[in-house]
Amino acid sequence: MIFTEFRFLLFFGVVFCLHWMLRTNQQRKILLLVSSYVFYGAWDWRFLFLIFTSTVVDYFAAAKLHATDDEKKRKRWLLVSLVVNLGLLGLFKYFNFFIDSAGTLLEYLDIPFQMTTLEILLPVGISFYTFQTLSYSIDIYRRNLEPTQSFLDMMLFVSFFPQLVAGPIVRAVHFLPQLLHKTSLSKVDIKGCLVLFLIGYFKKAVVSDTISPTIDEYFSNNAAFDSLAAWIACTLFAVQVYADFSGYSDMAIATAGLLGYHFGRNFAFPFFARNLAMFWRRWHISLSGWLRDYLFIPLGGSRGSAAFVMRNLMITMVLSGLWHGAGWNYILFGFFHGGGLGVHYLWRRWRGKEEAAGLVGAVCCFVTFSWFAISMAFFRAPDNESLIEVWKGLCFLSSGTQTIDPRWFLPVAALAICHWLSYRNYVPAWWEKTPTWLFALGYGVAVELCLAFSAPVAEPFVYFQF
Amino acid sequence: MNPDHLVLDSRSESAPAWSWPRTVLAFLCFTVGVLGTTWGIHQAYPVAEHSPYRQKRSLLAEAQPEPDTLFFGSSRILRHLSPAVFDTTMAERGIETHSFNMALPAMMTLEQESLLALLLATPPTALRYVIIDPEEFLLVTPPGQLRTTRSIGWHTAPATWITLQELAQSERRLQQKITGGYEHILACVYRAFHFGQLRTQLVTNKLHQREELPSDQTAPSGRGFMSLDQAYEEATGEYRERLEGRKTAFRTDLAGYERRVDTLRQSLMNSDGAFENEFAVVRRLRDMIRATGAIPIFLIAPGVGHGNRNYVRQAHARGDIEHLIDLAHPDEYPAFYDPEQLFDANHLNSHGAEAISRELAHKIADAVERGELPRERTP
Repeated sequence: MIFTEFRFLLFFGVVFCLHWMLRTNQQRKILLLVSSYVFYGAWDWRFLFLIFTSTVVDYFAAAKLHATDDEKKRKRWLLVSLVVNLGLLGLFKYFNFFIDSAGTLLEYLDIPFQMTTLEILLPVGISFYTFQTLSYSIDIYRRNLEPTQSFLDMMLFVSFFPQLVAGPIVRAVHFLPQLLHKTSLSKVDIKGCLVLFLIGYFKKAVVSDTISPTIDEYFSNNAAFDSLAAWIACTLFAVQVYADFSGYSDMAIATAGLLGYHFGRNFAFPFFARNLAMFWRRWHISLSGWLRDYLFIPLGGSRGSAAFVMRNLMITMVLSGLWHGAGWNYILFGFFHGGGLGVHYLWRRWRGKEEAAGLVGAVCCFVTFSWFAISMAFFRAPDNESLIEVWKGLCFLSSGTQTIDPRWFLPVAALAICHWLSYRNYVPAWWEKTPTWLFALGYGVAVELCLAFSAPVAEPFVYFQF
Repeated sequence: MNPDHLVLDSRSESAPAWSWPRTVLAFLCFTVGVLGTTWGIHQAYPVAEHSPYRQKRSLLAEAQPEPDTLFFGSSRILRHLSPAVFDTTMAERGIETHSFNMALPAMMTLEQESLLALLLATPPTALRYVIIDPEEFLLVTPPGQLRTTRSIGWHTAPATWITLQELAQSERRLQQKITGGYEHILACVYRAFHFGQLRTQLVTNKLHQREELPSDQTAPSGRGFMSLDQAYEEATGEYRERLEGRKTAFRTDLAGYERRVDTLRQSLMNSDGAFENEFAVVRRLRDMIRATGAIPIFLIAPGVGHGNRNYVRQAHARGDIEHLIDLAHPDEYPAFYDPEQLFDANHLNSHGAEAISRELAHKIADAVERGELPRERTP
C-alpha cells in the first residue's frame, strides 16, 4: 500500500473519520496503532515481529538505563539497544553484502572460504525505524529525554504509519510529547495539509513516474547511448529522486498533519544550495540531522585539525551511503560526497565562511547540483559495467549513438521555474485566505488534472528499497 | 506554493471553526471541480488509443495488397494463423485472399470488442472475411496489471459490469473475486476520470520514441504473424528467458499437459455455464463485422489453458452466429494437441501453426464451395 494508490485513500479515509470520531486520546492512539500494523502488514505481515521486537527492546532498555545512575549499567543497556537494532539491520540488510565481499576478497587471496548467503527479504522501512528507535535510546542515555511510561505510545512512535516505511525519521523527543494530549480537528490546518498532500502526489505520480521510464531505458542499456544522454539521464534521475522522495515526505507530513500530528520538514530547496554542506543540510533533513547528532558530532565534529574534520566527514558520508543500501556503489557514493564535503571544508577554511551571492551564487548552485546529479550514477547504475559506461558518458567518451530526446528538459525546466518562484516566496499560500467553497472547487480541478497526468500504475517509491 | 515553505502548525485562532454545512458545501464544490474538469478533458482529449493498437492498425493500413481477410483474437491467433500459408492454401483452392493477422496477446472478448470497434470505424475497403476467436471474459492477471493504458481503454462501464457479473458467477475463490472485482472497478474509475490520459497524449506519446509492442508481435514481414518458436529464436535477454521457461516447463511436465487435455475433453461435454450477456457480446461482435460488409467467421482455436468457451458453441447452436469453425477438439484434431506440434501448452510451434492455417483455409474453402460463404465481398 503506497500513498499514491487508490486503496491508500480508502484506508486513510476510514482511519481519518474513525480517528476524529473517537472521544479519548487513548482510543485514538489504539486506532492509529492498529492501523499502522495493518498498513505495514499489507506488505508482509511476517516482518511485524521485527518492529515489535525493536519496540520492546528499546522500551525496556531505555527504562532500565534511565532507572540507574551507574554509568557501566547505563552503557550496558545502551549497548543492548544498539546491538539488537543494528544486529537486526545488519542481518536483514547487510549480511549477504559482507559475506559476498569477504568471499570475493578471500577468493582473490586464494584462501578457501565457505559460507553461504541467506535467502532473506529486506523488510521495507527497516533503516528508517531502526534509526528512529536508536535515537530514542541514545537520547535517554544522553538524558535529553525522559522514557515514556506508556508502551502504547512507544509502539505508536515506532510504527506510526505515515512515516513508517520511508521516513521522515521522526525523533522521540519531537513525537512522544504530541501523544500526551488530545488534539482537536478544528486546530488542524486541513487546507494546508490537503495542498501539501496534492503537491506530494504531483511530485511523485506526475513528475517522478513520468520521467522514470526514460531513465530506466537509459540505465538498462547505457552502452548504446551517447555522452549527452548520460548527462541527461543523471540529471533526470536527480530530479526523479527529489520528486519521488520529497513527494513521499510531503504526503507523510500531510497525512500525519490531518491526524493532528506535526512532523518537521524533510527537504528545504536542496537544489538551490550553493555548496555541498548547504545541500546536505537541506536534503533528507531528518537523516542528515540524525547523522550529524549521533555520528558526526560524537566523532569530534568540526572541532580539530583539517585532517580530523575531513576524516569525520568521510566516515559520516560513507556510513550515510551504506545506510542507503548494501553495495559498493553506495559506499562509493559516500566517498564521492565525503570527498566533496572535504574539499568544500578546505575551501571555507581558506576563503572564510561568506556565502557566494549573485551570479557567482548561481554558478555555485549549478556546480552543486551537477555534483549531486553525477553522483546519482552510483545510485542508479545496476552493476559495475553499467557504472563504468555512465562515467564514460559523463566524461564524453561514450561510443554509443542512441540519444535521449532533449525535450525532456522542457518539463524539467518548467518545474525548476515553479520551484524557484516558490523559493523566492513569489507564490503566497493562497489557500489560507480563500473561502472554503472556492478552495474546494479549485482543489477538485487540481486533483483531476493531477490524475490525468499520472501514470496509471503507481511505481514504488525509490526510497522504499532503503 | 512549494511544500518546502509549508509549515503545518495549528491554524490561527481567527480561522472559522469546523462545521457540517461548510464541509458538505466544500465536498459539493470539490465534486463539481473534479467532474467539470473531467468533462473538459474528455472534450479536448477523448480516451487515447492504446499504443500497440495504433502500431498494429498502422501496419494494417500500410499492408499491400490491401487485406480483405482479418484474423482477430489473442495469442492463439497471433501465434497460430499465418497469412502467407492461409493465402497460399486458399489460392490452391481457387480463392484469392489477402489476409492480415490483427491479434494481440491476452486479448479477451471485451477488449476484442473495443479494438474491433476502433478498427472497423475505418475498415479496409475490400474486407471480406473477419475470422475472430472470442476468448474468455476473464483474464487471470496479478494485481496492478489491469491498470495499464491498454486495460483502462476497454473498461467502459458496460464492459466492466459484464466482467463483474462473469467474475461473480465464476468458480474462483471469494478472495480472488474480491481482489479481481476491485481491480476491474478501479480500471473503470481510471477510465472515467481520464487517469493518465493527458500524460499519455501530451507527454509520453510525444517524447517516447520506443515501440511499445515487441517486433515479434507487430511482425510486419509476416503480415502480423510470427510463430512462438520463431519469436523465441529472435528474442534476447529477459524475454528470451521467459519464453525458454515456458518451453522448458511444458517439456518437463508432459503428463500434466495430458491431464489438462483430459480436462478439456470433459469440459466439452458440459454444456452449462453460458449466460445471456455473453451471447449479447457475441451478437455485437457479429453485427459490428457485418456492418462493414464483411462476413464474421467465429473460430475456436486449440489450446488447453483458456477454460471452455462453450458460450460460443451455444451461441452458434442458438443461431446467434452463423459460421463457427471449432478446432478445439483433441479427439477430432489430435495433431493440434500433439506435443511435437506445440511450443508450450497453449501455443503451436511453426509446424503446428502451418498445419492449423492450412486447416482453417480448407474449412473456409469448403464452406465457399458449399455455398455457405460468398466467394467475393458482398456489397
